[in-house]
Amino acid sequence: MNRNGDEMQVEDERPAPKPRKHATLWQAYLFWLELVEMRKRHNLRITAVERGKSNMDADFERAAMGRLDIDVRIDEAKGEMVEFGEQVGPV
Amino acid sequence: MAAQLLAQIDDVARFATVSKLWRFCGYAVIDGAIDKPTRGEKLPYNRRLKSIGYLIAEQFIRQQTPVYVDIYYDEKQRQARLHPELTPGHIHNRAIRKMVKIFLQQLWVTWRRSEGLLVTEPYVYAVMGHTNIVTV
Repeated sequence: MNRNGDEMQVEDERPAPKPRKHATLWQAYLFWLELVEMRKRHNLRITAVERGKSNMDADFERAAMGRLDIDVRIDEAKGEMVEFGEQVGPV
Repeated sequence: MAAQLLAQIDDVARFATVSKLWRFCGYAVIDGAIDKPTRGEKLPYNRRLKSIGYLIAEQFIRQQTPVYVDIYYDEKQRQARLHPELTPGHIHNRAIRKMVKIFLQQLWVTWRRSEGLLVTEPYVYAVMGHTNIVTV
């Protein structure tokens, strides 16, 4: 509804979802990839701090990553991705 | 790595020929030159898939995977013989490229056969008359 009280028609112009044959495998892959990218980003930040190229706090990064237990999460996501990959069949 | 590869390729039916798969993976040759990123232009291949191909090749060398590692060493020798001006790194990259292309070809053949899809002869064999086709 706009400020004049009229009903607004908003057209959803987003493209139709891309057809995927193994959609769940793709989803599991994306999940794993996001975690891996996150670990990489924070490791790079810690390295930058250690080399004096960043003013951030490396201990804070380490503590945050420790709380997340990122390596375990990545292993879980990887296991799930492999499980869905095996369902594709004997390729 | 295999799961990543399957997730990125998704459906092998989209690639009617192995050349199409090579193009999608960034291992095609267009007018005698390999696909390279050009500023301001859309990349004609899947960047992540190309990188997965490279990682798989590295593993083949580390694990000394039979057949593939032979392709790698044979190509290294051939490149060194044909192009003595090339640096060792350049020769290594060329050999890796050949190994990945053959791996993708085998993947394409196996995957399409398992799904009951048509498998065509490689272009170099069917059209260009090459006879030394590698089968794994």
